[in-house]
Amino acid sequence: MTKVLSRRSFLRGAGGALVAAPLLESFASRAYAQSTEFPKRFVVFVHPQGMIMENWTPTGSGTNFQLSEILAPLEPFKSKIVVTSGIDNRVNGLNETSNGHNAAARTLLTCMPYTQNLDANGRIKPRSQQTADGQAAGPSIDQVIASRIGTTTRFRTLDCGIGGSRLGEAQMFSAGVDDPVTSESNPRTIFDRMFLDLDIGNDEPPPVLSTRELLRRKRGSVLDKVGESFTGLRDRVSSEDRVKLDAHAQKVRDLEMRLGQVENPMVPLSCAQPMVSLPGGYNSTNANFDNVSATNLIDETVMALACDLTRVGTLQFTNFHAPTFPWLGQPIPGRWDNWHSMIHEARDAGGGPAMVAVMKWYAEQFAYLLQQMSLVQEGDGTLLDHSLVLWVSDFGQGQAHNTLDLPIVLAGGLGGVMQTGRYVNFASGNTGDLYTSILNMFGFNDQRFGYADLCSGPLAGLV
Amino acid sequence: MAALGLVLGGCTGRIGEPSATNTLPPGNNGNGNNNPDGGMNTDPPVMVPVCEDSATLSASVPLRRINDLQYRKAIDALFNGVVAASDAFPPTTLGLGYTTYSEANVMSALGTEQMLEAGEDVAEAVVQNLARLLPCASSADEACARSFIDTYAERAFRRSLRAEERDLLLGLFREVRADTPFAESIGLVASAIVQMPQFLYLIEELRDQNPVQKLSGNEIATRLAFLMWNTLPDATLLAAAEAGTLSSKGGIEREVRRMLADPRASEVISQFFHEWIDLGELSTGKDLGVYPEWNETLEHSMEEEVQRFVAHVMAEKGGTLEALLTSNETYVNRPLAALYGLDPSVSQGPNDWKLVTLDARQRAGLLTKPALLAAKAHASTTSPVFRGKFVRQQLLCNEIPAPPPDAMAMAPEYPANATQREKSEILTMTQPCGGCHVLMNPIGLGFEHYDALGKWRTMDTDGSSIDSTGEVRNGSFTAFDGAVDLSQKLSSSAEARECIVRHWFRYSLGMREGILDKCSIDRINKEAELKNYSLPELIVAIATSDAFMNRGTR
Repeated sequence: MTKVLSRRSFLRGAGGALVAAPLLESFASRAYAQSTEFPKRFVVFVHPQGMIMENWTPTGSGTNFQLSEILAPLEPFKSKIVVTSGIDNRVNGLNETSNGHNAAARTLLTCMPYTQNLDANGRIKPRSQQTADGQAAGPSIDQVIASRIGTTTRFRTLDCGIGGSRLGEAQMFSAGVDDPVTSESNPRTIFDRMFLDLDIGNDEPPPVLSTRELLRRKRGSVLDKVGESFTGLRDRVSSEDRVKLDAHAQKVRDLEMRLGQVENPMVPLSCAQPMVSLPGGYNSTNANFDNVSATNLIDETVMALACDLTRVGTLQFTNFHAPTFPWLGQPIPGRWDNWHSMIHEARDAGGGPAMVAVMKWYAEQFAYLLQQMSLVQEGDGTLLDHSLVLWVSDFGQGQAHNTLDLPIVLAGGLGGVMQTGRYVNFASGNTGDLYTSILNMFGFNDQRFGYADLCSGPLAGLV
Repeated sequence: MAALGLVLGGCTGRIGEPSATNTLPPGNNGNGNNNPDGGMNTDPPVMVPVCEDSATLSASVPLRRINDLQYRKAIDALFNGVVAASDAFPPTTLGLGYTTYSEANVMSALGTEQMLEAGEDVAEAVVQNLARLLPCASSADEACARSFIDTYAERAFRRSLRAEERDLLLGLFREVRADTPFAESIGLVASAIVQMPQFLYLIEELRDQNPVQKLSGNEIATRLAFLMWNTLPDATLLAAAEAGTLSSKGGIEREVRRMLADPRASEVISQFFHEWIDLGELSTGKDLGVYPEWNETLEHSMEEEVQRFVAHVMAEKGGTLEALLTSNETYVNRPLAALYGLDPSVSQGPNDWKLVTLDARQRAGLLTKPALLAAKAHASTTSPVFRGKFVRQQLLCNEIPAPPPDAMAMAPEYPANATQREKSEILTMTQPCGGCHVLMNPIGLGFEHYDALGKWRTMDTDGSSIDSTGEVRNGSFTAFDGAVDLSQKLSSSAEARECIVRHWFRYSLGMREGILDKCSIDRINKEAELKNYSLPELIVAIATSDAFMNRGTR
């Protein structure tokens, strides 16, 4: 019996704060059998505008390394992480006519240039035939993994954008050729998506279903007919139009399938409804870029993974141009035009401490993510132990908008597949190599990822 | 499809040295200007297509989904104003061109879910208002369900239903009716209708093997309705489609003129200028230490001024490009009166808008609007780069290539307290930066009288008198002094005229023009010229063009 949670589940807490009512019992009715292996998970955590590398790079090497000022918040998790230097995004350079941002974002996780910049043989076109902007010619690593390990979960991926979802230049995640992945930013909306349909094991049917509840019950029927309606049009339109219609229809079918799973979820013991706590007067919109939304979106991502609503989550800080970080009490942007200008100009002109404070705040959010994941017990281990978490940015040295030597931290280890507690400085390595290794860690034997010429195979020395 | 707008190579080359390929046709209308200053390597001139065959006179418009604004209005029209808009509909992506572009409205996985949610919002409202929407509702039978489908699906799809479509929706009704009340069952049918591709996309079907398809009356009606009013075609338009009058230019023109007279057309025109200027940039904010008067009220006032100014020019000045660029009449409220330095008694408050005439030495049309000047500036400083780039891309249709990936590493150092002019001079003399910046900064410097809020100032940041002379390299005119002078020169220049035609072509068809579209653009340009570049006449010219009436397919 599927019980539909209603919005009554939000209580008014002290000071008018909206607080999600904790369930009196966790979702105990269906649990993984004790001997069942917990699924592997993948989380991507991205902040924009790169790093101040000299304050980020650890000292030492191998298992004998020391965290930098910026990475200091990760100290409690030092034994669970692998920090890397020397991994480059060289695919960025293939998009020769792009502005400094679009290509960096689109290529970072896909290792593919813009679709329009590839010829019929999949080779990069000469500069004079290239376009200045476009979408990636392939999927990002999170979507590839989701397509393989996330076929039966409620969400293929849960994509959270801290700071709004109208990405434009910051578009990074891709489901395939010219197939941008959009994200949610409103903690309330995400909460509703995750929990409104979930069976909490309470067998008492409500006395009367509201109109909305009656409608939601029939989502499968509606989506089935909507999916079918595309079929009649396919043969009446051009082949180019058909490709677009098919892509949409496929997503409708996928949604129908995933919602159909909700009827009988294998919900683990560790799943509990998260506390979505919003301060009184907080305006929860689709554009919040602050510590409140960051905390809530991280919490919701962790719960989605714990409840097996998804196996792949992405957390992207999307405001790359002019965030002000007022909660840090730092002069940002101070005498510069905006955060973006600070990244370019402030380091050598006294703005360093403010920028380090921001980078450290990103590290604190990453540490919070790891902490929350490590608090979810899963058998003999934790959610963090069973996951691989990737922290990366579109630039290495942000000041130069350089996509070489990216600031990467991996965490988790996927049940021991990756040896953690190390700092590895690669003499050379491409993002494609890294993602190939990640696929291998998940048990897939891919030998390449992305644009073939810029990938030599798995990254030796990573695991 | 390669963009017709000129891409200025890599802006490589040194200033002051002639380069081998000097032709830099302004606005790409073929009028090469040999520029002895050289300064850029350009790609070889673009091929000019032969303009007689149908392939060059149709437009290969990609399949378009309606955008979020069109969805709201279409839902409103579909259900007689009874159903309110849903916030859940996936937002149109900004920054990829106009919101009418196909690529700004691509379905993502999350988008499909959001659309389902929006469909349920619609369904809930339909249930609540069922008696008004479906007179037979009390009979609660299948015949009544059928009449709901016939009425609303047809209206949503902009044409008669096919048997299989009716059967599909009736099938849904029957399936859910087994254990759902009648009202909610109808709601579910409504939610399906608004998620179906026949509603969401401007479906344009193949009638034969011809690579160029003449659009049907209903397809033209759909294009016209979404272009002119952002909504579903009304009864008059559908009747015209039915009667076959939309297969002729005369018939289309009649409808377009009718629709232009409606306030909904003004909204569309206003929306165009909002996007053309990219007024969304205003929201990145200003430094309150330097501009304590900056707040949401002022920001919205600036945006509204642009809307009111455009509406005024449309209504009172024939909507010509010249008036849009040079008219110094505008509407102000109290915050704007202060910003413009007018006597405060001009307006009583933020909601009291008055028509005023501004000082003609300081203000002309759109290029001197605070909204534009503030959007193309930083938090506390002006930006000759942004202002110059705007003129290049939006009024001259010269594309400026992106900076190289390591641009910032090569950026020059400026002396402390340098003015924008001093910084620009250094930047344009530094290579490789100068190759591109010489196309932008000398134009933007002509705007230095307007600070980061668009307020007039006479003194520069170092206390000296502002020098507002500027230069449009490789244009049909080069030197100018101040934005008012620039506006006047642009308004009578062939490049700016063709450029506004291109931008409206893009907005109307939902795509960037390609090489083959040059023929259509030229024809439309000639018609627009005959009507003195009146914007409503330009819209008529576009809607009655072969490019609009015929679709190239692949």
